[in-house]
Amino acid sequence: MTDQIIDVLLVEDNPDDVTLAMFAFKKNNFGNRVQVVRDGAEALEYIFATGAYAGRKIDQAPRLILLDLKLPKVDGLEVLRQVKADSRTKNTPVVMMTSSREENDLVASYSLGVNSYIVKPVDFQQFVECARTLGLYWLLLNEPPVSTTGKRKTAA
Amino acid sequence: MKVLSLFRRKHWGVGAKLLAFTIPPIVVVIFLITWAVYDRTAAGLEQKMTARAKAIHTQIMADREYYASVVVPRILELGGTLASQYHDVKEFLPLPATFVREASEIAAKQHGGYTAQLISPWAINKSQGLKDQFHREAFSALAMNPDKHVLWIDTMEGRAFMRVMMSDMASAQSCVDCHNAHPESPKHDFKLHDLMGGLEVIMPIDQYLQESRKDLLLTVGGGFGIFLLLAGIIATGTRRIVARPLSQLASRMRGIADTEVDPLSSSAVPRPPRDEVNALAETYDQMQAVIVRQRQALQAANARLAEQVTDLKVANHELEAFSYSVSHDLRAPLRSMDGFSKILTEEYADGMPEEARHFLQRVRENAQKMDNLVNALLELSRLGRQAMAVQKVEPRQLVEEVLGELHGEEKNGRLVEITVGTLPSCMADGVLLKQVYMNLISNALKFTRTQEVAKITVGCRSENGLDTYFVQDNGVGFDMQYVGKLFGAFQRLHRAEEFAGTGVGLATVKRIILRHGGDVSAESEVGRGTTIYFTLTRRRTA
Repeated sequence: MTDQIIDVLLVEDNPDDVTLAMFAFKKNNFGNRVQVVRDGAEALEYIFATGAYAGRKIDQAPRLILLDLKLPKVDGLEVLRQVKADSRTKNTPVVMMTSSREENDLVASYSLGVNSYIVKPVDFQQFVECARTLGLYWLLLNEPPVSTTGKRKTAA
Repeated sequence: MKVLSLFRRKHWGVGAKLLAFTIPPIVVVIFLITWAVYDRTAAGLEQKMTARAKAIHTQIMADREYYASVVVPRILELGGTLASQYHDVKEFLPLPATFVREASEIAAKQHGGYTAQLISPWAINKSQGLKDQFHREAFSALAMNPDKHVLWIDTMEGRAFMRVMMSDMASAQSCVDCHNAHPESPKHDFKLHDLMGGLEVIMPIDQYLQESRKDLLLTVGGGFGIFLLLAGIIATGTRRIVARPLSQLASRMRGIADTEVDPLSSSAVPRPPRDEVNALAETYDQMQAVIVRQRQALQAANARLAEQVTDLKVANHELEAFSYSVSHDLRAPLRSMDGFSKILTEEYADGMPEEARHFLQRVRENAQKMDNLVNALLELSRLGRQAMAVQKVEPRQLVEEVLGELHGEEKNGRLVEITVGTLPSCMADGVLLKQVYMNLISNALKFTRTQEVAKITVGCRSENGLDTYFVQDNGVGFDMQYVGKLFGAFQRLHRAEEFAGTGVGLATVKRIILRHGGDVSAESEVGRGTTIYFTLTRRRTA
């Protein structure tokens, strides 16, 4: 389980949001290789292969991290800061997905090097569209600087 | 009367004080000058009179010498007699002294100038002896120094006279011989050049005294006149140069002092100021007291303000935390409601009754509506905290941008006439002011929906020198009794199914206008339309 290669790391504490996100991913055919973690601390353990995820290979980074801003224990901005501060993980694309339209959060995220910032729409239809676009862009179109996953073309 | 009133005044000005200080020394100076003038006049008079007396003395002595040395020897040769009783005895001839006196009496009658007489303690004629105090004193003085003359001013029968006594010396042997030999003489041992008596010249000096008195009066009067003139100039000058500016300064300072009237100090009876300088000093004291009080009040106010700022910072911080929390936590349930309803209608559509599908749709609509409300609320709260960039803006340009963005919206095929009048430029945050126009014009479009021809006027008029901007429509209007609710957040005067909206549009407008220091107001009539007015600077109450 821990050495499984994944496409998306979803960092989300709200179980409903997890359910809805997974539904949207499945609708767009990339729900199989998604790892869900439920708080910032767990996200860091997974990304840096420590704690519960110590057995994981750190170089098998997810192709995309979807990060909620408000998280228990360690918040999204801190996770983002650590990911972007570490040379082993800084090339991993991070997309901030949040309810907040707060300008402060937006500015802070971009100054920490976030790759994209998305306000989760209330309209589920729009969210499904959003998930589709995300998968299309980050998993299919976008070329990562170094091929760390070894395998490509996972999404059909 | 004016002079009297000047002296009755209890409090003298600087000018009057200056005069009061100046008058005594000047009076002393005038007195000294007068005295000097008088002294000089008296000395001059004495000199003049003495010179005249000497001239008379010389003349009389010459006459007598001629009489005594030429006439008297002939008379004696012819066997004549010189005697004092020559008036009574036809053969007798006058003594030289009698000759002199009678000749001078004639002269006095003719000229009215002087009389002269020879007097002597050893006079042959007894009527020419020493008669009074002057004679005795003068003669004893001449006995010691015959070259002297003795002056005496005397009043006789109300007239002033100057009496001058000069020595009468035995100038000729004939005189000595005659006196020594004369049977009536009380002294018979005269020698040549002995003091035989004195010649008294009596001159009236009334006229001279009058003249010198006139001179004195002129001098003193002129001096006093010049002094009065100078004093007047000093007083006027002081009044104009010192006193009046001082008074004006004091009254200006009083103006400052009066801006804050302390009820405690003003209840005390104010002492009238003694002069302008005192008035200034007193006013300064009052002003200083006021300034001190105001400074204390200011410090207290500043302290309160600092506290309030701290409170505000805390409140603002809490508000930020609150809106942050709202924007995150209030939305998440909405997403779930919408998301799961959507999944239900799509994935489980088979066998679902039409009504159930409809209810699910209602759930989604309400979730959406609540999202809009949350967004509007956040926007309103953000407006209150956002920093403003106030600069000169052209409202007309903002209105045109708004009209461009609203193009086609809300028109619904009806005729919309929008008139944009003259809009003077103003100091405002352009983004926020555009939001104001956006909300007001959107409202105008929305509430004219029922009109066949919507008429919207965007303009400005000047009221008491203040630019009052307005947006007017001919829409449904509202009852003015609810005007108080108009600008409150989430206050709506129309039912949602009539006119959609979150109820924060006008609240947003009000928030923006208040942040600009302006005022917002509304006028409306049901069925006739609404006008919303706003200013960007609060009316100055002062």
